[in-house]
Amino acid sequence: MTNASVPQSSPPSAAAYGSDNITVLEGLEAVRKRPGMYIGDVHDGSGLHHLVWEAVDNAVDEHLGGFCSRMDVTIHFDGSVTVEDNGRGIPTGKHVEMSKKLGKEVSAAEVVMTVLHAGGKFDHSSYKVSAGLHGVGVSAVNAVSEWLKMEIKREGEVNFQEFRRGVPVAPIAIIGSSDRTGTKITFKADHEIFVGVTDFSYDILASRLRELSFLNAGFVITLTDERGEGRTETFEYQGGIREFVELLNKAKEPVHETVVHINAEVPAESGAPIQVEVALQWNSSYAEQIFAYTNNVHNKDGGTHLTGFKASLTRVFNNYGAAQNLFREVKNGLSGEDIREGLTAVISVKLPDPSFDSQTKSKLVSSEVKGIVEGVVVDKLGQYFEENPAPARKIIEKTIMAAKAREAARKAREIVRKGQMDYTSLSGKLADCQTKNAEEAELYIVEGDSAGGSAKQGRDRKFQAILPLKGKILNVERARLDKMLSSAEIGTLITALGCGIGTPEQGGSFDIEKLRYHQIVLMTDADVDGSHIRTLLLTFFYRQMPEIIERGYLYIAQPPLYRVYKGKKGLYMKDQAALDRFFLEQGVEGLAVRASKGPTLSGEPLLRLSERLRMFRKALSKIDRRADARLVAAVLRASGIGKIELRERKRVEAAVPLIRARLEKRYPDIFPLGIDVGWETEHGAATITISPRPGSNARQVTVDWSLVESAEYEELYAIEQDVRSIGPAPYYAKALKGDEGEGAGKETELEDADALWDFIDARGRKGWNQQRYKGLGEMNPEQLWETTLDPNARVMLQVRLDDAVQTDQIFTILMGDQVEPRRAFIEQNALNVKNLDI
Amino acid sequence: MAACPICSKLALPRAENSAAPFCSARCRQIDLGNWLNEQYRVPTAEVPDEDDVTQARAAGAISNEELEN
Repeated sequence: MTNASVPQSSPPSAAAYGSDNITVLEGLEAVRKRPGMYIGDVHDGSGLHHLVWEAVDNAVDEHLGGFCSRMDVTIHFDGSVTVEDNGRGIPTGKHVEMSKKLGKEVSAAEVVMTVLHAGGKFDHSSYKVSAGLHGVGVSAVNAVSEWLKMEIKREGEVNFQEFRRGVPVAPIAIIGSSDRTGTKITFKADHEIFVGVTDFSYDILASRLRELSFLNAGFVITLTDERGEGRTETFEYQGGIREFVELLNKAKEPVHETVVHINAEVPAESGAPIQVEVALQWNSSYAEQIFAYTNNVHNKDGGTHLTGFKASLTRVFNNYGAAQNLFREVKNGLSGEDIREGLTAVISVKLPDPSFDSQTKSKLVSSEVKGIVEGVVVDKLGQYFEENPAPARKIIEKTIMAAKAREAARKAREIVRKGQMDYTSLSGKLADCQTKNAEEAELYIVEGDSAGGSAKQGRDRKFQAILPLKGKILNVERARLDKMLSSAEIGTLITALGCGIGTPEQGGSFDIEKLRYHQIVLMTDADVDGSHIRTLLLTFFYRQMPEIIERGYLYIAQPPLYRVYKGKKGLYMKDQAALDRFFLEQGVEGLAVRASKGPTLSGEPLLRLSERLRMFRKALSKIDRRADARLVAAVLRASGIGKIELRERKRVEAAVPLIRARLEKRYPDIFPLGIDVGWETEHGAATITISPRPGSNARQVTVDWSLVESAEYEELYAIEQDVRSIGPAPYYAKALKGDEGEGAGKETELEDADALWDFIDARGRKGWNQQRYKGLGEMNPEQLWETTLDPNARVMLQVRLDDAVQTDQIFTILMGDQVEPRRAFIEQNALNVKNLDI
Repeated sequence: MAACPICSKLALPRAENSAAPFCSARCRQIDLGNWLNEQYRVPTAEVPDEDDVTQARAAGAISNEELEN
């Protein structure tokens, strides 16, 4: 603590300390009387630890001045503390001014220890910048210490002085010699003053000392605790605040690998340059962690340096993002909060004469700092972004996510609020039920207004509510049409459900206990568009309200696809399979069939045989894609050839005339026709090539190994075996009971299995009309009630979580940007809508 | 275990992760924003009716450029 007015090497006074220095001590007496004013609370430990900070700050100031590289702090077993540095040592020469005032010689070091605010910190010539700390100086420590020992190594000498409760025991004296320099202060807090917390906390000291070493790159600080088992830690961070940020982000997942470190010295109006150091790194969390320091002092309320930093971030992000066209997805731009989400930063400015809003220095108010910090960070961070596009993009993407989430939260709140305020607006859409008991209440979400209208008329209003929902069509007048749920529709749905939306920890309001219906039934048309709307809704529930699915509240209505009627009698059929089965049952009802030789079939066995015959037709229609089904059927029926038979040349040759005869009888118009038998060595099997008359409506067919072993042919073959098992054609069918003109006992001869099937099929369908419901709108209110609303008759599928997972995958494909898989998927599923029926 | 529909990172199952099927509450929130901003669309074979066209026009969804195409 060099002071210009202090001669560097005047010999210390040997004069006895007497009553004449009372004026000086009056200052320290004030500290003892009102310690709280000077050093903080003497009960809770804050004042106690403050003593160490005051002592430490002297060493830090020496470091800031460039004179000190090391500081050792020791807590002794008796609770006293030593702070030792390797700085220049407090000047020990005569303090001219004070000596004159007191009329006796007094050393500068003694003045520092006994006069409040006596340090060299108020003069920039000794320190460019200073922690300028808590403004009272080490003399306050002396004042409230039971004893304090000061050892100063300087100019080859070792000086020593001891104080008791602020009063020098003796003048400063040379006790030895050393070629090193430095100051060592040991003090024991006075227990007359400190009550309550009287022990130093290792952790409090360690954390501040660590912080100091971060803030002063290269400053080596050790902390030793000689109490108990003892421990020592060395804090040395060559990387400074860059390492500080790394430590703060240690348990987190960084967005970009390296910490951005900015360090600049900027000339200031006031003369001495201002040093600006900033280290920053984004992590994947949502928390913002920014520490601002002025001359090593943490400003918990920020101030102009923080304001400048925040302003610079906004400028850099908006410049860079706009230049790179990254903001397409965020309409309203990024807010400061979005940018700072997940940001860990340390800002450290060092400047002469900082101004603060209060004695606690919680907020920096020096106005020129804002512009300086902003300028430095805009410049250097902008440069970093330009030079490191990959991390820059990652960082900006994260902020865009933050902006989208914020926007989503705002929108969700708006919808919920609107719904609460304007519940009546719902009444136009939602036809609510009378019960308020969620357990028995049912909500039908119905696709389309017309079906919604019928459902409203057909429902039981006591417990059934109807919400018509319509997908909105987009991109009209373009090649590809899209459908979506408008935000208004989703808003209506959320309001109707009554359970809010959005995760509470993200500011959302979802609460399943407020759900108004425990049966939510999706009712959509049985076509591709209906399945898409259902997919949209299911995905929405799965992603945003999975609890509803988990609790089993979500259902899919299964309205019938068909209605058959005969006169007044009408029946609903769930789907094609049910319809086929119905006609089959009708076809064999009261019928007996026998082969020319063999048993008579009726009832269940006949039903099974008919089912096989129907399957034969189905398999034939499938094989038609490979080869002309008529010719394939003729080959099989005439010859019974399968995999085994095809490998027996003689058998194949013997079959040729049978095939020819059958074809000639059934399809004379494709004659003249050639049948050639060849041999294929690869499978050791014959090839039968049938060439119809050119220009006829039949295609050439080659029955070879690959056709015969195809799944379709194998099935045909198996069915043929079953049919043959009842005996050879022709078949005779006889109605057991007279039924609508079909005289009982009259036998009909049927030449082969095909004819038998046609007979049964026609008999089953006879007199029945059938109606296919293309949409729910085609049902009248009574029909809707009978089929889909009536709890005693309806069929509903409960949606399970794994169904919903699949739906989400389908949805992802439907939504996908990749046009080709999407087109393929849609075509496939348009052919087979069943796949979409989750 | 599946990929988060928003960020494709691993999303833990619901037993361990209240944000499932998303990796985080944040991603769920962004998904909600996509629903409310009408960004989820599925293809349709339906023919738009007058109503749809009027609505789209009013919302400015059809630009002149699109009309020319």
